[in-house]
Amino acid sequence: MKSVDQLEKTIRNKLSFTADGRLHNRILTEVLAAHEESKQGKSDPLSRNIRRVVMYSRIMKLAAALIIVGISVGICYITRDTHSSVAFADVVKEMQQIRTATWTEIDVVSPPKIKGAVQIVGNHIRQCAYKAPGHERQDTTQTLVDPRTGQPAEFKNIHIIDRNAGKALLLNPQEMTAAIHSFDPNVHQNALYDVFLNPPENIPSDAQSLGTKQIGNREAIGFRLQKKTDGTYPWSGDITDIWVDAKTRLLVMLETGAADGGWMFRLKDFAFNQELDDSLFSLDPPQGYRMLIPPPKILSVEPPKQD
Amino acid sequence: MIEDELLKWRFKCGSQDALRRIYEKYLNHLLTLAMALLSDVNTAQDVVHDVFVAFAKSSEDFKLQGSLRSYLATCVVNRARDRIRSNQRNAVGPVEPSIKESETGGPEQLVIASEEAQRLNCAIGRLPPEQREAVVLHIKSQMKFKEIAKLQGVSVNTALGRYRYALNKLRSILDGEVEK
Repeated sequence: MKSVDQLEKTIRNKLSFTADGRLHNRILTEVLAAHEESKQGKSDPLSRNIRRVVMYSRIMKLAAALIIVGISVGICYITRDTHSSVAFADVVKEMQQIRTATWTEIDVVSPPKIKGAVQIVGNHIRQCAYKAPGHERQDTTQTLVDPRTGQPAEFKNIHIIDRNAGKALLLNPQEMTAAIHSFDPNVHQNALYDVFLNPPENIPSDAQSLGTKQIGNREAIGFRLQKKTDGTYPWSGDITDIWVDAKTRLLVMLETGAADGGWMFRLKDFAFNQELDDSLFSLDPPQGYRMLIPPPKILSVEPPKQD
Repeated sequence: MIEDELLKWRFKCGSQDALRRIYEKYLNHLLTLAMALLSDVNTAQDVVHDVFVAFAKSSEDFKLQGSLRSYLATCVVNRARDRIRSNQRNAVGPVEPSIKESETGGPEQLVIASEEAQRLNCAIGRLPPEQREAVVLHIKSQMKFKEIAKLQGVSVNTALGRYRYALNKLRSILDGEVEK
């Protein structure tokens, strides 16, 4: 007969159920969608929500980066500052003409792995596309260890946003499922373009020149932006390095991350003003996809209650 | 758990990455808990799904002083109780734990468990619900008896007693299986 201690140990170590990759992804997709929907549903003043709205997607982050660049240029023009002001001005001038953009995002330094979590192998890779005005797409690929087989398996998801229509389409190619989520288009569009046209004064103006370096076969000029301690700088990383082509002044690479080096991601392989098919940004699910009913609305998480 | 404190703070600030990490960290734990409490794969999946969706929607108003693990476990317990009550209202006869060894696999094999885990789960499923809670919350969720007592609305001694009764009963169930 097992002792109580042995039984406790057996339960602690052996009683374990694991979600396989499909279940993991299925619930995660709905949880993230619920989180986004929840954030869009809030009608707080823009001044309180500006950071959250800007951080809604990678594309918004890129837009925020461009805004920061633009504001920095403006201030540098006024103060007739250093060599970097000229480069910033050229960057902004060029970037404001962009109709389409594509780029790749990768995790250069991933956050530490979590014990007990589904193991992620390698980097998340995100292929991003933007088409003015307000069309965005992000194809994410990540490799997880399938808990059943112990072997790495690739999982993908696709996120398409139409900010004009106020809708987002989430596609799960593994399950061949799709889900549409709505949000208030005015919140996003106004947030983006208001900031673009009327940049707040609290954006940092102290871009530090990083000199030049070769990226691929191109000479690039670098600038470093540091996050303000009061949190007014609308960018996700503590430090953001922007590298632009010395000739065209268009973005070549952008890196942002934590000051302590705990995480960093990189935007690279930029291509601008290429023709992008409208079907890339279509909110109609591709053929063969099964449309999911959005998860039921739950007003709030319940506090621990007593029977 | 400094990591959990950081995750809580980032989640409160609206970080989707933090939510994703909380999910990845606790999905299997909550699934195990729900399976032990409900003994039904589909209902357990539903409960875990509902808890995470509700949690995801709560970031704006999220306030938590204590352990994130205990909080999520408590949410699972509350929802599991609701499901059990709902089943009891709808059922014609008394509700019996209905887990079968093949159920954890199911046709789609979405939940993976060892044979021993299934055997333990079957045995736990034969305990009264309040004893089930005491066992899995203390052993798997590392909750203190004081917390379990508060959740169950009983004294600490009662919670401790339920735990001891449960372990003794489990021993006899499992030993009985071995003897067969």
